[in-house]
Amino acid sequence: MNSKITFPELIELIAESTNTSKRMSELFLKELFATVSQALIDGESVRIKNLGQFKLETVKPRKSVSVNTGKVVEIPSHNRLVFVPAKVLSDKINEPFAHFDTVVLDDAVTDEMLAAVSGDVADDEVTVVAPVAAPLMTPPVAQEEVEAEEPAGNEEVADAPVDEEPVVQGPPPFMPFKSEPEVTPPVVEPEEEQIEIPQIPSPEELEEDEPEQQEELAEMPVEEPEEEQPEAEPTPEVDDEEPAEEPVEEPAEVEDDDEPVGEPVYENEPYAAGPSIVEIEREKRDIAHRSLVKGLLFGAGAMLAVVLIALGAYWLGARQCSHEGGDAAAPAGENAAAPAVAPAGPDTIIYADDESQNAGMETAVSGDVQEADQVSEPEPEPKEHKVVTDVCTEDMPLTRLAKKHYGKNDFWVYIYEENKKIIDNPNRIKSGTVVVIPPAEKYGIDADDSHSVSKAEKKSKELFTHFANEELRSSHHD
Amino acid sequence: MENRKLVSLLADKLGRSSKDVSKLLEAFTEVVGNRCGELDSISIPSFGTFEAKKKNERVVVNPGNGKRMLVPPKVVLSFKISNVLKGKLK
Repeated sequence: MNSKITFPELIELIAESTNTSKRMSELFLKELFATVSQALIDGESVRIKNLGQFKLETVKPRKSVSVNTGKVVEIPSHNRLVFVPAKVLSDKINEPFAHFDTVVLDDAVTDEMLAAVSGDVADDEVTVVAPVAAPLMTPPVAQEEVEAEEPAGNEEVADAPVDEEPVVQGPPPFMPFKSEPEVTPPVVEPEEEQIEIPQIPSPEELEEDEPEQQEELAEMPVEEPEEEQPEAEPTPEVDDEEPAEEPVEEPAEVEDDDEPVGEPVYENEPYAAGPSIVEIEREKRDIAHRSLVKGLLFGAGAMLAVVLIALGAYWLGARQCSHEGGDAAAPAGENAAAPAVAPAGPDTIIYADDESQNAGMETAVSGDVQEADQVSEPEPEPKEHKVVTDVCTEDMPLTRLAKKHYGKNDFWVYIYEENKKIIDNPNRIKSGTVVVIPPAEKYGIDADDSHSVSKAEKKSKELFTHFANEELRSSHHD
Repeated sequence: MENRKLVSLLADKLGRSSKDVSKLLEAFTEVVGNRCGELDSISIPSFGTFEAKKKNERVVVNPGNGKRMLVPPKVVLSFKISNVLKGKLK
């Protein structure tokens, strides 16, 4: 990569690949370039098969001004050598970018958006925009804000106790993902994580034109639990019972809840409320595990209050649900407890494994959690979607799958959205990858609805620009 | 000078069959393609340097209709002539 190949190296390379002696190869190369040079000097152009054409171009005499003296001088006519690479060769060299096409940008794509995805800016942008992805996941929001500007000035989000969270808690509760790189098995995961984060903002931005809204959204869950403050008391009991009773079997669901990265975008309130609670629960257990007293001390802090409230609301919700609903909701909560109680090592490993978990479960479980959370709704109807999967091959890329299942190519973005965890780059999907086809209603997919189509188109363009840059950056690193 | 003529010329000079020569020539083309594809550069003394250059993606505006277009990044092969040969060509 970016290394210079010298003449002796070239001789060696050619000798190796043709099984000839170095001497022969050297003779040949010298003779080759001598011949080509001579032909060029004679004014002939030389074409070499599959390499390209060397030709001379006559540069007309032109006037110029001497930099030193300021006098007008005439540059005499001379020849210039032009090398035109053969189509075969230039295609071969451009192979990494061959699958890109020129895209017409529509007016909705602003300069800021382009700046956001281009070059170094993107890295900064990620931290700023990331909260957008999960508007209601209060802890990350707070953390991000604190990182940006430490003390005050955080407006609505900041005035809630949430702001204190990262300060009091430190890394453990909120950084389940960030701490992972230290454990060897899930090494792959953080990368996915990083990839996911920048992607989400784009669709979000498209949907909500004004970023201000996000802050309001982020604020909501904080207020909500506060109203139900008295109910927070019973939670510790639940806390103690659950880990004891529950087998650590199915942390999968929890994991799925933890990463609804795509979800909140579409159904902001309910979906995101689930994850925030689960996350909070987990961190809470973490504290309890270390020392109950310490945890209670922190609980005195407003942050834990929020935690307790959230859990209380959640627990009560679960209780008030019909028997069925309670059952459905309880495992989710209990599972949340399980991984937290387990030691850090296995914990993180579980996450890594679960990364690849079926997205179908995700919908089902988050649906339940959502129901449980909305105390007013006693009858939870588990959103059991039949999980449709399909195989993505070279002849059947995401676009064609979208055409097949939804009737329009543009809806591939939603298939990608659904399978983000297993697809790194939609342009480079391994042939034979099994992808989950999300139910059309989940993303509001309707081929007849022009609004829905244009939304998908926009998203598709966003993703394209994003991956174009991704590609660019990775090749820079190489 | 076309490829065939070049090959036969070289074959004469080297005293090898034109088949061998075209094999060597193909090997050279192969090396250029592979190594420049990895953004390496190949320099040949008193001739020039083959070098792959990365062109970043850019936004262009069609002056006719004002449409903006995102042109994808690409890698192009360039050849920089050496000063020795340049001097001879004048």
